Amino acid sequence: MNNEDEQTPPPVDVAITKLPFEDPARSFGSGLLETIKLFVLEPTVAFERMSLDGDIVRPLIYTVLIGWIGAAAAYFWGMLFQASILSVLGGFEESAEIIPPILLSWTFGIFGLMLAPIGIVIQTFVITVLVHLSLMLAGGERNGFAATLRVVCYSGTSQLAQAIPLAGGTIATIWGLILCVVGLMPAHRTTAGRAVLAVVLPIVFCCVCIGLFFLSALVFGVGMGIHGQ
Amino acid sequence: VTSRATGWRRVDRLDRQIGRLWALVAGALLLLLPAAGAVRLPACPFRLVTGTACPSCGSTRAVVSLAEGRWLDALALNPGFTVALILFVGGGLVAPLWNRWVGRLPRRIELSGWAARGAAIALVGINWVWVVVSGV
Repeated sequence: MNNEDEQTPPPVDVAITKLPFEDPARSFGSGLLETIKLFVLEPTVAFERMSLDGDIVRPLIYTVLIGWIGAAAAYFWGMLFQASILSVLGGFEESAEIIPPILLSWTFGIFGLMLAPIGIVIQTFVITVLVHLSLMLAGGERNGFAATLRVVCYSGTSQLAQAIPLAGGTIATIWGLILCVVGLMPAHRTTAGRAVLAVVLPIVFCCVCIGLFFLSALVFGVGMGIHGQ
Repeated sequence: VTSRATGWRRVDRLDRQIGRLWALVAGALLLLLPAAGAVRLPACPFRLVTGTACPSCGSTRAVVSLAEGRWLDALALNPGFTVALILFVGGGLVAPLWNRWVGRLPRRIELSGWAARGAAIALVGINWVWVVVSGV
């Protein structure tokens, strides 16, 4: 091998190194599906291919789309189980009596689904602020707020787990935390320990789950019927 | 873009996008605030298990108090959360204006020193003690 060969880097195919959803050369649908597949099967590779200097609009569109699909799945299972539970435990004398409360609940649910994109954007931004502050405290922040925002957006892939009945929400939450840790490492060139700290600190110190539940309840309008503190 | 001498840099395209997003989130929270009183939540799981208030206990009621204009009540319920929420919403409303009219941001904000870490832990700790002692 001569000196010239050593100094010349191999040609890089930009279309391959970019995330499919961030590649303008690809169609919206195929880019979205390929990106989902990549984050599900090879999250480390996916986060390494994630752009750190492009627009934040694409990652936001991605998380809103996936989050909305997850919310719709959770709504579907919730309504299905609510109808079953009400019919068994509701104490209704006639089956016709059960219809008005279910219809009301479904109407609120549909209204909530219409507002869900706003809730998803708020939730994503708030989580990013908390994770980024924790990452700064842990000494792992290198590439700015936008890098953390991208990681949180693509970690939203976990919301697809909402399609699993009953345990979907729990699986989505745990999977999302893991994706976030996996993403923070290449995005900020930081260690696993610091990435874990950044994800866990908000939960430990702020009990953020309660705040997010509050936000979800507010946006989805499902507060009715849940007994308060 | 980066000014090492002053420690400040010019805002770039990403900063503007984040500023607008922050403003959008802050605006949405402000619009949703009046609906806060209608939301009912289950009891705090941390409190149910340990019998002690968690660091964020009282924050829901603080939001309701803020929505009703009872700022002092909100501060009494959970001062840390209330101040953070006000700073977050206020910062979001100011961010796009700051980017447009000032056009500069700190080059780097360092929070990884032990002083910053200690201050953060102390702030969370003091707030938690307040929440527990005041019987929220």
